[in-house]
Amino acid sequence: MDTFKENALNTIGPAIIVLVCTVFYLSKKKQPKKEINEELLNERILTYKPEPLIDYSKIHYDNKDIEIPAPDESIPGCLNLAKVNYFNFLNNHEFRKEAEVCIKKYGVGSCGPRGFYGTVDVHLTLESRLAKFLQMEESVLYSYGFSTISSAISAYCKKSDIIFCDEKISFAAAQGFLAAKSQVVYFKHNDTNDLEEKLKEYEKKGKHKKRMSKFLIVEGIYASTGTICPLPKLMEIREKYKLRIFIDESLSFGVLGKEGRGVTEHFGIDRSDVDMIMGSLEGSLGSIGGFGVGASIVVEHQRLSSLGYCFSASLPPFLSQVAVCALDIFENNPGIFGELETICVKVDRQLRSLEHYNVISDPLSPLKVITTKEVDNRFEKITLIHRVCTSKNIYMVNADGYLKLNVSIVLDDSDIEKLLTTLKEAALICNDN
Amino acid sequence: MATRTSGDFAITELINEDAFQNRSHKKEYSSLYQNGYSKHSDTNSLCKQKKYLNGHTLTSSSDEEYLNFKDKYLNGTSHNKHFKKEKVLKESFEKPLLITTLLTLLSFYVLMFLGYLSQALFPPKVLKQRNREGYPRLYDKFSSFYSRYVYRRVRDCWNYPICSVPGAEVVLKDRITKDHCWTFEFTGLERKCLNLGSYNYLGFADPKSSCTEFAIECAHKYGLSTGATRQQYGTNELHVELEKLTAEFLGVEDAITFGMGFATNSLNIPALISPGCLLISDERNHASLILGMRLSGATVKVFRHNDVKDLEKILRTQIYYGQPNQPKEQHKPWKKIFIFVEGIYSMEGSIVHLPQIIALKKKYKAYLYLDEAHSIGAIGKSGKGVVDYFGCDPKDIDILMGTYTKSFASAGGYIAGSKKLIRFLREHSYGSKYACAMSPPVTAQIIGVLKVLMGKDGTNLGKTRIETLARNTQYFRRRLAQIGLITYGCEDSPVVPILVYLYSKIAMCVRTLIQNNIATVGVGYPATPLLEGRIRVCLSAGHTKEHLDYALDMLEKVADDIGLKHSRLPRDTKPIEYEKIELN
Repeated sequence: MDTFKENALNTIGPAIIVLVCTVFYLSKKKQPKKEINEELLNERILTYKPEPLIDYSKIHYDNKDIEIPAPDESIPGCLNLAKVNYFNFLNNHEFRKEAEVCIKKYGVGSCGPRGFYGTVDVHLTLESRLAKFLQMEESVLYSYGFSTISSAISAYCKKSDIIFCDEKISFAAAQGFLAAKSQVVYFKHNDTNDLEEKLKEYEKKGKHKKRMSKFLIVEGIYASTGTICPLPKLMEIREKYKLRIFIDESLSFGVLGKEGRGVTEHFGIDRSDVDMIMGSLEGSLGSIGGFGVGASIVVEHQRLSSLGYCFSASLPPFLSQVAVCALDIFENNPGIFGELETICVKVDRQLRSLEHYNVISDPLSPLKVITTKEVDNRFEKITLIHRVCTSKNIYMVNADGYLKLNVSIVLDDSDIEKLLTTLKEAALICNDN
Repeated sequence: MATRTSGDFAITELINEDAFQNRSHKKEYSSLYQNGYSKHSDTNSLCKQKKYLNGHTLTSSSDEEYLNFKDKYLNGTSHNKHFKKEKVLKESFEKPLLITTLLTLLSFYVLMFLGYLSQALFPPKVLKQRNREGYPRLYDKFSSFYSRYVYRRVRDCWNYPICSVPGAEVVLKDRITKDHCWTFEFTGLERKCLNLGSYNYLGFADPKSSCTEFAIECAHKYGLSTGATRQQYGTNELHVELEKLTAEFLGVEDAITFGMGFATNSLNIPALISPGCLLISDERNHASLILGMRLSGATVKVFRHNDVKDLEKILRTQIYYGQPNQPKEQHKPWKKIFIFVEGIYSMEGSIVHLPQIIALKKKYKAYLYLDEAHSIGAIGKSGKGVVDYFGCDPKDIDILMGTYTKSFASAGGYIAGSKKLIRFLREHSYGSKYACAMSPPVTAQIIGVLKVLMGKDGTNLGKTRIETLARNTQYFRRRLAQIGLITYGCEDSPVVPILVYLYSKIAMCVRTLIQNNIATVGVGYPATPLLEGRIRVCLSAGHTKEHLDYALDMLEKVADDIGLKHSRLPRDTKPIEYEKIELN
């Protein structure tokens, strides 16, 4: 009898499922399709008035003002602090010669993505050199600094995940979050207590999906403020809450640390505890492109899932070669990091001595961010100061109420002196108005 | 959202369990398949006439509705002149026999089964990350399974390192694997191959040309990077010259350039489009377009590949219904409607039906975004891409986008259009605000190539290259049809996908061809539909007839060996004479 019951159940069960499916299928078909009213459609087509292609109200400036051309540096007294040129690699003629050799051998472009015969041996050299320099297992090369950060993040973070990140995170990373569609929680800039509170709050809510991952994404040196992230504390939090940590070292790579290995070396943190370090070749290395380094098991995933890596043409070989040359100098002459640090600190001290300015950036950062002490009309004042400095052949980046300047190893005392006096003068002119 | 990417890449990107499971449902297969191609014949009225020309189906010209559009919406004498001797697009998307389809499915299941089996028997040899107990996984199980136990077995077919110019010939760095593709070792030997894989359509990769000399000169003069963004002190005179030349070349008012082709799409689409807009995208659009659309936050609808009828249907219903989720009985029209298409689809080899789409765009007041990544330089009488090929007015396309990576053998991308549009982008594009400016030698190379193409160097070298490419394309495609291989796409497209269907055959083909010194690219799921594995050939103006003959002989041999002659179309047996090929 029991067996019969079982058999019966076994037959009835699937039968019911089939029945339900059929009914569902049929009922779906029976639903009358909403007819399109032809007349109304034609009327709507006729009356449809799309907005113009672009929002004309958003055009503010003339072409000239939007794209500020590179200044002519051959003019004596020209001080270009707008470009990122920490070790003066941009003017290094040896690099240019190497690039020439490389172009003659490989051509300018690579004519294909990495998968399709776009992997040139120079790429492999640079990848292994970067991994070796940072003492990590593997690295992956991208062809554009911006895409590196956004693609690498969206390769790991998924819709179901949650990202904790600093509110001053770079725009590129924010684009990555958008592409990943993850939930993003911003904590106050460099405020680990706030981060912990947010994490606690999140844990309290409980009932999280099992597969959900938590990410912590920070920058080594923040591009918008020039401050350094409090990594030791962040690592503690990471350990406590089991977060995956990604560090964007676009600016700090090749700058911080005794041997230029970035913010991890600066704080003496074991790099194997960091899940991934993203960096850019556009910072200290004086090339174009970007990279991600980490354990093989982590980086390997990017080679198949990162859009900016898979679907884009590979980095032009000569730009990789330039980065290799820069790494040569880093490895053979680690003294330059000390030199840069000295100048960074010197410039910082001098800037802080100015009475009209606030220095926001960290003393060790080669990117200095300053603003006026007075908060009122900051935007207009900075624009005016910027204009005065430009007229004196000192070029800095005017970023919405902040002045950004990049320190370079070739700055000498007279350059710094000139910068300071000009800034002072500008502040006086500004206050007179 | 477009879930299916038609990317440039072969393997397992974007894979996730859900997508796979969806697709493994049998019903999905058939509909997926139909979405691809077979519908083509019953939706397109002109196909009822089924004219075969050397194995190609005639499309475009006899479409009645299209002719109506033409009369109504395309005024101006110059266009009418063009349309009178209108282009006949010879396209072919031949279906395989049912048995091939079944075998392909079977082979995929066998591959997956073997994958699971070997995962159980041989755990991965890669190391685990240290000190990560209790941490959630960084990525899902299925994608690591797929990459380790399905893709890994054929991993040697991709990412082959090269150590020379990717010109008509390329030198591969020979590598071997002793542990079934977990790791590779270089043997130290090199293998010179005929290059049918790189996107070197016009053959400018060769560093002996004058363009490269100019690039080197500029490397010394301007350095290798400007070290700043375009908006803030990163613009130099080369950029300005390039933008001027590009605009002149394309016949539009202005152009703006960016340092990376992929980023041109993904950084500019969000700047142009806001939520409340409707984006209608071809299902085979490139990943960068899809990413850009996703970042913009607008609604995306997908139409069947190159199917103008389907596009019109979507346009009509969307204009009729307007934005969704409105209060009852209220009609809120879309802010803007954009149509996103590519010139040449890199995986299909097909050319966009531009005249029809322009007509539709005009009728329904939509905007058109045309991605000419592969078509710029590669087709058209003077190499100006698909607009030139159809003889359309470039001003009819609202946003012209393209890359310099392919035909120009350089890097970067451009957007061209009206002065206002470009000015808007100069101010608001994320690319010029946040990303590094284009490297001077890269810029110089493009300037050099543009000058050659426009005949500004005082020679007709540019024209010769464009003609050689067109001739190579015709010759190669027609010979392939004679051999009996199924190729996809348009007769004039230098991207030639050769269908091999089965997974294992992709690998077999690529390996055998490399053994015979021919470098080609294999593409399988998920870059293509599951049932349409293929190898892809990209022709170049650098290829000589001897190169092509050698490649064709080898392809025929491989086709005989592993059974690729699936085509059942009538074959033209007349020998094709290379020199006598008539160019359109």
